[in-house]
Amino acid sequence: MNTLDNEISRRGFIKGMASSCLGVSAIMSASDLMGATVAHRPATARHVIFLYMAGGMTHIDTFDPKPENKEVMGLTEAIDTTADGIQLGSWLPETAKQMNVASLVRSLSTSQGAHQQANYLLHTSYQRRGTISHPTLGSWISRLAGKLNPTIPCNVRVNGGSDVLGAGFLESKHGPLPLGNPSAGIQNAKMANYVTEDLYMERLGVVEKFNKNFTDNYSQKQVRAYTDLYDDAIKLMKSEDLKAFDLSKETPEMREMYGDNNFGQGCLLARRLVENNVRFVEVIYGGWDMHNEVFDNLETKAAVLDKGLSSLLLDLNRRGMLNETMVVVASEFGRTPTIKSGRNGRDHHPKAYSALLAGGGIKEGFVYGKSDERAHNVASRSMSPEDLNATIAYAMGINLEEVIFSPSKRPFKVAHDGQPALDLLG
Amino acid sequence: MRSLLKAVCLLFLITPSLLVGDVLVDQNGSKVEGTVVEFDGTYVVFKHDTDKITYRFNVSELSEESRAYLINTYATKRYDVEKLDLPLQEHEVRKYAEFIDESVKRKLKESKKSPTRKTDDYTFIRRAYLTIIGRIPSEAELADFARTMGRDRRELIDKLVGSPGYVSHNLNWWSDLLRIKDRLPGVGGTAGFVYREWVRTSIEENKPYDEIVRELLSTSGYAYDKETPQVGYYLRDRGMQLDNMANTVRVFLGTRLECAMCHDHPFDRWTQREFYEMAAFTTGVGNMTITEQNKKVGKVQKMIRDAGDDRKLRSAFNRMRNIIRYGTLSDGSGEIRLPKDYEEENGKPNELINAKAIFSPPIKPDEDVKNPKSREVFADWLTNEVNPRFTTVIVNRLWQKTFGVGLVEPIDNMMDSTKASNPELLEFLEKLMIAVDYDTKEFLRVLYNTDLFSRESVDEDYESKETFLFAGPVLRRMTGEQMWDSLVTLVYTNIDERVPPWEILEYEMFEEYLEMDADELFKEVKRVAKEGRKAYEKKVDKNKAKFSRRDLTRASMLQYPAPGGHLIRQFGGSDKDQIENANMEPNTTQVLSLLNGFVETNVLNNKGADFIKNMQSKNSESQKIRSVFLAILGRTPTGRESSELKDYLEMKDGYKHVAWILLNSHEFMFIR
Repeated sequence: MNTLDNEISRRGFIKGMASSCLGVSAIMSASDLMGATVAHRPATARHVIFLYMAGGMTHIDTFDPKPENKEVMGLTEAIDTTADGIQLGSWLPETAKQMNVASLVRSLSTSQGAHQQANYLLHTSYQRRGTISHPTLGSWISRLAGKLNPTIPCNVRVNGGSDVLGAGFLESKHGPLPLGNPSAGIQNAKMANYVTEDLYMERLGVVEKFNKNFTDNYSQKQVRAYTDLYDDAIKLMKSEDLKAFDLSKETPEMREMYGDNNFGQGCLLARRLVENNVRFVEVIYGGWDMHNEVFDNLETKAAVLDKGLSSLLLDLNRRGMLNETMVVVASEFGRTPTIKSGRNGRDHHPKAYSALLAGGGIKEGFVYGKSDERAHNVASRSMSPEDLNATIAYAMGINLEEVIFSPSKRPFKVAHDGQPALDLLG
Repeated sequence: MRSLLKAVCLLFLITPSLLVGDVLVDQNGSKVEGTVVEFDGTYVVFKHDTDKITYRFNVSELSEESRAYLINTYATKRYDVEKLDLPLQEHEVRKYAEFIDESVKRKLKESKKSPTRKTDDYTFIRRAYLTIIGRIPSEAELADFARTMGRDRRELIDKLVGSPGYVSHNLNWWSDLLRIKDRLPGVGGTAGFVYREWVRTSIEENKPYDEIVRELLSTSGYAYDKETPQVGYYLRDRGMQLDNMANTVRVFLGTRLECAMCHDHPFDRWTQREFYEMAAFTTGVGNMTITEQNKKVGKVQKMIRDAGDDRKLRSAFNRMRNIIRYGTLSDGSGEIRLPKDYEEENGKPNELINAKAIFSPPIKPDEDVKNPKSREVFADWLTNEVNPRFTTVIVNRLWQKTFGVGLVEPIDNMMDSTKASNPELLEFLEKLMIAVDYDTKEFLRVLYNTDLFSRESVDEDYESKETFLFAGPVLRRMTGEQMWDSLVTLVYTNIDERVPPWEILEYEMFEEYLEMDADELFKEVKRVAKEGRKAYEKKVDKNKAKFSRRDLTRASMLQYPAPGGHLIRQFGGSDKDQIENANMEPNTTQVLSLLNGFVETNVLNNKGADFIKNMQSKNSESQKIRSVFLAILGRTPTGRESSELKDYLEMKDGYKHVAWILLNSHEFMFIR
């Protein structure tokens, strides 16, 4: 049907073919043809800590250095790590020491080169569309894997701005609990002191009675969301595990180890939450959009990442939690190998970029895929953001083929048409 | 198999298109290839490729897509509507509102649906306050409706669009669209604040929309010059000419070009070359600092270094530098170079190309002129009535703002194939907008006067925005700003008079600093370093009345964006990083704020809160309950609700219980 529409466009028929190929339908029917879907299996990961480097983290200077090619490296050097044959950018010396428990993907690739679209794809496995909003991976996990701790939320998001991607078409209770400041933990969880608990609950009873009229009149998802959230909030207030959100329960040494900044403290909070059986914690660390002065910026930016990430891996490992907890460091795209003259910056580069994964069944000291000698294109085993999400969901024992219908009766899957990288899993 | 398919697709993508010229399709689907010679909106003159003969025919013979293509690409004329005298007379407002209602009803009837019922007055007043001025009404304002307006909804609408609350509410809307932060990224000082205040003044003056946009796009000057803070539009995207163009096209033309920044657009027809041709219009704004001032500032910097690079001196210097250096004096050169790694076939890497617009009306700045003023040319083109998307976008945005869903959805991803859910209505609204000459207030006044705005909101979830038929408005939760402004209204019913005194020191020093040469500036740096804050005080308005609780004012008077963790942000208020970045995601922290947070500390526990004083002045218990109901939910209680609450009122802190219950009810946070 679309070919005719597209034929009249200025760039004509060929472009039309291309865009309908890039759309979902052709690709989905291709995998249908193959009939080759990966069976799900018991979970190797029970929790995910997803460290999102917002803005497009430079891959060359971090996870995919090219020491042979000085032209693309600029001031960055490659350093050896505790994993045989794996080098990292010189900005990550502490992470290098933990590399023997982690693996890298050096062949991520996407067609999305703008922040919002690429961020959307990374988080939801679907292209951003005006007509539907898709759930994030954490929301899918809440929906499909469910809570391990019934009294606190299953899906938590630490730091980050207002471009909140959430439950999408799923019920809102699956969306992330947003925490603006990890050190402040969860605010307003204590009832006012002029009221007893009995009276508090009694008052809530009146609220519910008053709401009945409203919810009867407006049987809508957005209204039900608040009915659910009031339940969740009360459970949370009464939860023994509220202390999971309280970083003051950690020793000063521990807090200092992770780094005195929102990212480091966010990583520490993620560890506490996972200890208390939260399924999915995303910690956002922004400021990677280094169009200007990439090396000046890396000096401070990468140091914070290095301290937080290495401490998290070390701490999880020491506590024996890395077996069940998968740590993922990912960004919406990489940055150009070319260092732009005049401003010493790197621009957006979606064609080839990298991620780090560790724990929860991920191999140790392994590299999946390869970029070419300039880290410009993928040289082998291209992985899409959908594939990355499929890998995570697969490790959590989620059936990738399970279809959930949106209220408009359209079918969706946790990682869209992504295929898990089985080679990454031990 | 899958990767093979992908590879094939990519091959197609980089294959150059073999088709040149125009392809038109008639209503039966047959296709002709050739070149459009002329198109006046009705007739197209077309040279056929095969027989080289020129034909003239009516566009109504063509398929919808071909018509859209012609309008988007070649139109030189669009709507021929006479301008109306403003403000509109009452009967005119009624006439246009009726037309809208008829069109909506026709559409409903086609689908065998009926409109919702008319709301009661209380529901209407609350909706009108929240939609038009962004907050709930106070008890007195509710009473006013019956007492002085004779329950006339029209009169209430007129009062609200003329009030300061209208300015405040619309400033939030504009700022989300334009991503205005007080501190612009990569820019020292608070130039964003000055820019925001320019937008506020423009709304206050009811400057026509096309005029606002034209000024944003074409103004040259200094950021702190009182005449030209609009250059904040380019300062917002300092150093990012391409992103700025992508933002401009998205905000004002509802079109997504950002994909075409790096390669031809995969889902729309735009090429990377076309993107660069557009960006060329703004070449010249550069890094938004003014060379002449940079030179002067450089000299001062050297003097400071020679004087021992004192820290105090440096910080005083930075402050001064921020004041005078930002802005642009270029009107646009209209040229740009393709990127060094340009891969498409229709241009060479690093090729110098000229500005060219993607839509009709076809224009090009004169290439041989010394100063082509390409930004002015661009602004005139973009805001031209003929531009096929400029009017559509604003009309659609205002419709969405009023009723909850646009006539075209998504609102900013329009393509040739995009269709409105009600094309007849959209066309009428576009004509209306042109007839009122982009006076958005008059336009909104018509929308507010429709029956649709007076009807109950639709009770069920709608299936999709594209097929929403407007049986009534959409039920919406309050935005972060509406929630904030409403809660503060409970404390200060005079919230709209609460304008804290500003202290924009930079603003006041600008002219003096601009006049100074390097030596004088250095002297001034030394003075400021020595005297500190006092150095500026002679410039500050002494009339700083004591203003308590600066933090409890309208959202539009607070810092932009509100800091993370602020109630506005909890309820999804934008961080202003991206266009319209607010969100309506429900989350637990919102609920906790209402249960135990802001509501307790700032509203219920605030003995001076107006709604509490007001309630306490009532004599009987039922009067008190009624008063709290009116203040919070904007309606009177039912008998059952009233008796349910009586026991609580008798307790110690009784009113707190009552207000807490109402503030935590769903009814409070939703706009029916």
